[in-house]
Amino acid sequence: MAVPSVYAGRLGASTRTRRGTSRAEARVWRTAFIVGVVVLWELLARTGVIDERFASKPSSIVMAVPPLLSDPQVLEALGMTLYAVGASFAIGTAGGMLVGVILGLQPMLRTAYFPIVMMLLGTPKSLFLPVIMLFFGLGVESAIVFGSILTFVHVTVNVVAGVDLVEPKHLMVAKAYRASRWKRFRHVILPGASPGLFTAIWHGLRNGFTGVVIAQLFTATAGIGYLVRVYSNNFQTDRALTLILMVSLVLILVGTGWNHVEKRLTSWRPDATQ
Amino acid sequence: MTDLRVEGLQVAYETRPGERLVACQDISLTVASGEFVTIIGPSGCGKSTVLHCMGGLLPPTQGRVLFGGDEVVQPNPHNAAFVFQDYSLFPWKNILENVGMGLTFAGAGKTEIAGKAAEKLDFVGLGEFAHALPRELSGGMQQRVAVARALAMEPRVLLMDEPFGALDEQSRRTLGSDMARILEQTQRSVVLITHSLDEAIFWADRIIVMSARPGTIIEEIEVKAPRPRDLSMMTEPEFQAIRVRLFDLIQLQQAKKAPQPLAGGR
Amino acid sequence: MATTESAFRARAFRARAKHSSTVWALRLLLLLIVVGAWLYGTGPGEISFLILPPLGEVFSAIGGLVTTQVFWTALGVTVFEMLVAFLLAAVVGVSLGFFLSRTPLRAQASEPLLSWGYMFPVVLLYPLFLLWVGVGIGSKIAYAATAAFFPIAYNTLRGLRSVDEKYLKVGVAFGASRLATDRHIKAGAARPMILSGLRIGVSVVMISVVLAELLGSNAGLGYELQRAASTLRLPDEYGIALLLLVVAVTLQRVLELALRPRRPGQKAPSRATEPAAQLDE
Ligand SMILES: Nc1ncnc2c1ncn2[C@@H]1O[C@H](COP(=O)(O)OP(=O)(O)OP(=O)(O)O)[C@@H](O)[C@H]1O
Ligand SMILES: [Mg+2]
Repeated sequence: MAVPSVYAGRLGASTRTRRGTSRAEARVWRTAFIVGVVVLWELLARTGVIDERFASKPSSIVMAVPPLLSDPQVLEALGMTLYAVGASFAIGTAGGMLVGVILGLQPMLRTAYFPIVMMLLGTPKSLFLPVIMLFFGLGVESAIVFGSILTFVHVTVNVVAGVDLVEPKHLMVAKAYRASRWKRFRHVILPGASPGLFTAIWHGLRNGFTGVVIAQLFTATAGIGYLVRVYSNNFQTDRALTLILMVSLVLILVGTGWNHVEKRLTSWRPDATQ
Repeated sequence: MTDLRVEGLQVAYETRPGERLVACQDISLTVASGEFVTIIGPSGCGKSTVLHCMGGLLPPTQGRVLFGGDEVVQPNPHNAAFVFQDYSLFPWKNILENVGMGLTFAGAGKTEIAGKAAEKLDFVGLGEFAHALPRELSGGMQQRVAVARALAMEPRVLLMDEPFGALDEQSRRTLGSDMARILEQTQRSVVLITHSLDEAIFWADRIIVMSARPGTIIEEIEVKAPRPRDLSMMTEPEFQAIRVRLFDLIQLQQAKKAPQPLAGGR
Repeated sequence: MATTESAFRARAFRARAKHSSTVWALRLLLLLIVVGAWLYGTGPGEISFLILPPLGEVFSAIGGLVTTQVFWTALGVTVFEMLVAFLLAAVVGVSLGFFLSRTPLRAQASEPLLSWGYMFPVVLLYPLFLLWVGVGIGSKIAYAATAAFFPIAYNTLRGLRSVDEKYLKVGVAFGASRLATDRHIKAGAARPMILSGLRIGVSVVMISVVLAELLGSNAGLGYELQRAASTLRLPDEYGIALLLLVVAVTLQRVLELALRPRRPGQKAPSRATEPAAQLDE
């Protein structure tokens, strides 16, 4: 009689599961799920259960890729979005790193100002958008400003969190060996905080992008967000979705890669599993 | 009847695909009702594995486990309840809720759970801590809560895996003798795993000595000292004789297996 | 991280205890700088009134706004959208997290999907939500709930997957059913992570609702802000923005307090680092 394992399905990394194969198995199921959704979507659209004008369908989305990529308007939008994201990222990250390190190392300033940054993190920063438009107009400048603000907030918070990772006992060692301020920063704080700094860069990039796109969705007259808005208004859902999916794919690829590198960077920490 | 029998037990773990590790084999033993059995053996010899099989937590690769004549295929806490080495109290529940957990799982009514849990908690002498959280208790107290949780099921057998493993020598002794008194009163069968020679003898009606992996039973020793026992028993010559015998058996194993594997694994 | 965190907390606490007056002075300084810059801008700085209205006008606009029915209706709409969206995302996200955590295969297969959904810029879909659900409150709720769903489901699943095996073993040994395991063991052990996901969800919902109202709607505070902006009623525009800020901060505080881990035995992820690692606009 085959005795059923009572562990099966109940305990996470179970005693008797074949660890090696289950990962591949999971990947197969995941792929099957995605394929299933795509096929179902296509079928529903083809049979008219869902309205193609509103929901498009996977085949139309794929077909829309070549014309989209050869459309000068799209290329220009991609180019200027990239420029705006790059600028936001540069400005926001520089500011965020500086402020983050200062707040991380100065308990008093931190106590005073960090709660304000945290509060900003959770509140809708888009409520500043109309005001930003007043100051910087409808062009790319507003997008850059808004993108920079988002980047700045996220980078600051993550850098402070990173500086928190520095072990006080390591700081103690630096003190005991009378390391200079710079040396202490260079050899103790920077390496200790590096996982946080690394995370900060990803979130900076991610939110720089989001900020720029939001500004473009709001009132801008160029850029990816603008195009998505226009395509949607004109019922060109295939184009809108194609653009969205292409951009998201890039973003997700970068993010996943970043996560992998980050995991490797932090693997020396015994408690890095969080 | 109510005794627990293990017949020709073998357990193999599949560590990697196609790679088998035999943890223990040819294990046959009987626990009579009301009997105290202790299991001792070198680290990693499969003691926990055997105990888990006895309670139905782990299916054997070969052989079987019988409880009162019926094959054990899954845990039944009314028959055999576990006391785990690391207590495993739920930190998010208070002590009373922890003691009543098994009854909650069994679907008992609220008042019944509360009543029984409070009774068992009093029994192990922790009545006043009913509403404390596990982390507010010392290791030894948590240990007693884990025992109360098992006792609340009123099981016929108590399966204890190194219940004093996490304690220092001093508390092991005092807690051990306290616990022995408590368990003697309950008239239940107990199977207890330990690394300590003294504990193995002090608790036992019968000691089962296992060899290094793959674990087999190499000797069974009866301990005839009268109950209730107390720590003074340790000074008696009979105790010392068994102690020497156990020491030799274990030493022999260690020497044969040298160098000892570092990780015993649980 | 425990040692670092507590050491850090101790440090911060000492700083707070010793210098709370200095801290408030520092905050006051920041406020003075902002107000000063504003006054300078509208005065000697000669920034056009069409960009920055005088502070006094903004305050009187605020005073006017809070006495109008329009404002309170808009506030009601916005808060309603937030609550419904959050409840939807929380219920669906948490229960799906539990469902997916039931078998290791399911969990392993779905976790990357959730994390990708998390990275996906949902905001780009908002124009399509408008197309699908219409310009009313439905599209705000659908969009905000979608955006908040991913962090909630992801954190729930992560929390449930990392439940210590020793607790699950107790469940098996004491004959717990699957439902009892979910309720008494997994929910308890994963609670800090689940709550942390919910707190992130709160922020995401607030951010998303306001944004959605700004981008296209016919009611709500975001809509009033957008309307004031497009009709160039500048004092109103600034006033609504400030009021919105107050509302958002208050709501966040309230919901966060409600979602704080209760039992002292449970260590929540550090307040400082938690959303830092995860919250996205
Ligand atoms: N889940 C598992 N997967 C693979 N191998 C295991 C597993 N659990 C135990 N083993 C192996 O089985 C053997 C016996 O393990 P077991 O835990 O029963 O030993 P033990 O006698 O209780 O040891 P200790 O005294 O250290 O607790 C060990 O060598 C261990 O490596
Ligand atoms: Mg063991």
